[in-house]
Amino acid sequence: VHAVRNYRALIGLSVFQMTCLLIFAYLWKVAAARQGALNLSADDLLWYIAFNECVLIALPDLPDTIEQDLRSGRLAYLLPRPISYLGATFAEGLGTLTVNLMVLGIVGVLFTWARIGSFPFHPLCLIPMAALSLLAGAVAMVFQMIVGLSAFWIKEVSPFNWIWERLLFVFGGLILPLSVYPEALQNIAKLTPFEPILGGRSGLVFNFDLAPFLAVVGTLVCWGLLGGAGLYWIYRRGLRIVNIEGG
Amino acid sequence: MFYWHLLRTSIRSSISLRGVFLLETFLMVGNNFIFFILWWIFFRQFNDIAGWTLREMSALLAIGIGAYGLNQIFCGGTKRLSNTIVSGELDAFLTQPKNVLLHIVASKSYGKGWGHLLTAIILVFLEGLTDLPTLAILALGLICGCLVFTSAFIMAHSLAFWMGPIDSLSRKYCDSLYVFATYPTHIYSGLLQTTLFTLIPAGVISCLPVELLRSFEWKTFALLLGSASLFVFLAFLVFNLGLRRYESGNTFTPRA
Repeated sequence: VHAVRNYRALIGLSVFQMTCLLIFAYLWKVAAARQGALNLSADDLLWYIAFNECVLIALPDLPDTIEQDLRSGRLAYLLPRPISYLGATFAEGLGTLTVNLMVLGIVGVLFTWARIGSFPFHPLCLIPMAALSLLAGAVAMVFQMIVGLSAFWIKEVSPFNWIWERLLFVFGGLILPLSVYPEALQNIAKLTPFEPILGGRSGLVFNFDLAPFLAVVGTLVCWGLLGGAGLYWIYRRGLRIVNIEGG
Repeated sequence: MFYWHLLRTSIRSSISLRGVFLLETFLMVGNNFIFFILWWIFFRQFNDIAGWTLREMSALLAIGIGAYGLNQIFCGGTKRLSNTIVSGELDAFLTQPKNVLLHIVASKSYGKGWGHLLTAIILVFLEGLTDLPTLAILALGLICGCLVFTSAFIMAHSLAFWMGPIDSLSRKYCDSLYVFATYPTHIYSGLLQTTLFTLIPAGVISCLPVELLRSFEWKTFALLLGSASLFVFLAFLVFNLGLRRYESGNTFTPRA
């Protein structure tokens, strides 16, 4: 509800998303003549980027929220409540993510469709893709929260957040599918959660099939569980410092 | 003189926590170079975009990122301008017998700007853009880019005088301008091309200096200087027009 009420931010995000898509639409138009090495056409690539950008831009700024909670001392008020701080922050973020994804998903699909004029996939594929985008966004949020919790030890988390975002760009295959990367980078990317969050998920839409879909779901769930365990462990360690310093 | 004294204080404040400053600078350089890897992969695949190779792209990134860094170091006060207007914090600036806009612009400096600037310098050396004429054009591009970034940010945030709390929209406009300035803008055509030299002046920031590097023409040179001057003039004009509509927020805001 809070995210819907903050419609100005949603307009801003939509404008930003269309800006990014416009850049790539032109970029791929120019590069289209020489993209023989890619399996995807210029139009397909724009769809691929639209699905990537949608999740990327829809992510709430959780590292900043957590940093503010720690800096302002709000955490001290939240801890005695009978709900988990991590759970509440995650649930709040998930709400924002869901609203953002709905708006940006519609804007992204309409914008890309208006530029290209056709769907290179069955429109019904958008339903499982939307669900997968939400799952991917939720997993990304878990890792964002880990970045946010670094505020227990450092003054500003934004430098780590930039690195996390840029790694997501590169190893997620934001503007180019990982298949065109040098082999070493591809191998590194496969060991990270970035690929299923962005490129691995978006690439599914072109030859949509249940088996690869479930494989990406499984990978995301595994990364989500692993990230969640890491998050909880870091949180417990961070709380010890808060106790030692008197909160 | 007042501007430089204020700026010196702001910069000292931004780098006072050495550890944080060094960490931010180091991570910002890393962050920018991870982004550079994307372009390296792109040019590995496509060789050139409408005649621009990785060399031109590196120059564009050096100018776009470096100019943004200069903005954060020397004109960081623009970042929260709309918030300052809406929350009534402008009162603190209005009570002093100095130019209000210059005062606001120099009132804040961000340490991470040095990371951007350092990235630009590394890119220049990495791509061998080190002969004297090239360095002179790059320096000119950085200064003009910083002025255009600052002017565009001031105008976007000054809309708060008329439209109220538009902080998130203004920030997204600023983000979009930075994003456009770090992508090649010569590939666009028609209305979008016009937009990129007017409403979202990313073309002025990074495309004109790179075109000057490719082949120096006095016409392009004059266009770059003229556009930067015009944007500065417009920023002062829009801010001062907006200031006439400003009503005090009746808030006490101590400024140390």
